[in-house]
Amino acid sequence: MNLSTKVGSFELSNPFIAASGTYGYGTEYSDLSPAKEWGAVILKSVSKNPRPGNVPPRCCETDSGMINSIGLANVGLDKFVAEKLPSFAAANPDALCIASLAGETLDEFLYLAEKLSGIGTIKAFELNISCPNVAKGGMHFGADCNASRQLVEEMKKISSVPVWVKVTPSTTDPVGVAKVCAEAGADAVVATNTIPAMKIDITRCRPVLGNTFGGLSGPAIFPASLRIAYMIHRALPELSLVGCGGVDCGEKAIQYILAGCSAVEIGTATFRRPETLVEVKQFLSDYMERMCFKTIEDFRGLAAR
Amino acid sequence: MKIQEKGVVISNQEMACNLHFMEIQVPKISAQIKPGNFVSLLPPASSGTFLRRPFSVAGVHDRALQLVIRDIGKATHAITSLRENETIEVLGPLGNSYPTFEPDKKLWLLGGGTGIASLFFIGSVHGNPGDKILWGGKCSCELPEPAALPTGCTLATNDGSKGECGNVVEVARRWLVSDRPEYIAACGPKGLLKGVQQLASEYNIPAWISCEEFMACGVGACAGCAIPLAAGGYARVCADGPVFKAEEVVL
Repeated sequence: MNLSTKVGSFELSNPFIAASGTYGYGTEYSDLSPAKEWGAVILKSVSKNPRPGNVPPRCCETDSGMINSIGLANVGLDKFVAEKLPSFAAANPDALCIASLAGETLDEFLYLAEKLSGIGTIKAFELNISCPNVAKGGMHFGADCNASRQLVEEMKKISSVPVWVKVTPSTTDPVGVAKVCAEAGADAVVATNTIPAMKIDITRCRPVLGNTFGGLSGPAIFPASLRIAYMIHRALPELSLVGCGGVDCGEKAIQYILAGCSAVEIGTATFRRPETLVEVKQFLSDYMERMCFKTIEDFRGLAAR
Repeated sequence: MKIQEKGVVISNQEMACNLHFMEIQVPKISAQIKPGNFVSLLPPASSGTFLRRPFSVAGVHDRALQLVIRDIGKATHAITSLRENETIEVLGPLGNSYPTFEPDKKLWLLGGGTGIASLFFIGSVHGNPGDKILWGGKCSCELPEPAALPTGCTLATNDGSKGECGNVVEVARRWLVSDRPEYIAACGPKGLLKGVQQLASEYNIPAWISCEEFMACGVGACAGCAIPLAAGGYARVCADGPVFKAEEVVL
């Protein structure tokens, strides 16, 4: 079965993309779910300076998922370029790699893009303007239409690779944000990121997470994220869309495609079961055969028409 | 190499109140596991939990991993309810391992609760006749009967209801009056590990501690199980640990 797909001009051998923050620097899962099996993998968000991350505990479990407050812990741009990208490229010559950029300001985003442009390993940028766990940048950026527009416009001027924008579900107008990103020239929008959440320890009588709040991920957020993807596709049918949030099986992945997404990110589910990718590919293939769909395009967005 | 394998429960004994000794056959993982490594189990669906659970390994017997698991929540309840021949998904070996301790040097193994598991493993591999294993619990119901233990293992309870009286660090401190190991390895609750850090620095004995933290991925991808480092910043317990030099981490 032909599972290939296109996100804008970006061609993928299958529609499944490892979500940023859940796939490390692309080598941690090499024994269990290697990068070349994915349509593409998005490495952990990189910032200009190294970030130690938030005070532990950084994650906890919920009924149908987890809450994380990692706080964009990462090695910083210099080490990312000098060590992480070369290790990834050496171990995964056949894999497509997308860099997730996390700036606190417009200038930081542009600095990252400038320094990473021309590095052959990186085939696209995903702008993380939707992380709920940082004081600056993150979803504060992504909920602001003007800031998002300016960011995408400036990024498009200097980027030599496609620019994707990962939008937050935590705004009253996710379609509005997607619209300004599209108008500013974004090659794709990724809908969505984790949903702000918390948990309280009833024995300690305190919030569980060191940072009090975190981002909810896993099957719990799937229906909410799907709705946003669907709404964006309905409003902006020409915009390339990537679904993200709660996919742990083929059936959920197909719902994103039927909502209009050309590709689907998978993250938290891999923590639970690293074989998720193999299974969703098989499920999708069987589904397409059963439904007589020859390509992803044959059924993409059908539910939104 | 990290391997995913369907494990078969070979045995499951309740060795003390809610404390289970389980043998899970996973031939590929068993062939590679080293003392200090851990595995992550996917709790049976009946648990209603979402993430995997990490467990350190107490030894290998006939291609089966030996695990010490306390039934303290939905996930561990579902796991410890498994019967012989039932299966469970196992991922491993994960994390780093204890260093190789010279065989002619004495090693003390100080464990609390289920933290004893990895100490049994390194103890059986090291095997110096001067080695001591000390396993502490709050009260007698938390610990098995002495007959069920490996030789050289002493029990301790806070209330003296079984074995030595006192917590693990207090008992080790008493032993130090007349004996001294070349190395210490410890695993257990944070209070115990803090005590071991203090003891090791006071007596200038090289010590390694195996740390616990809530984990999401268990393979070093998510940075969720961060532990503060004395030198600043954080390490990932799952990938940079779980075994650290005692003075390296801030507890």
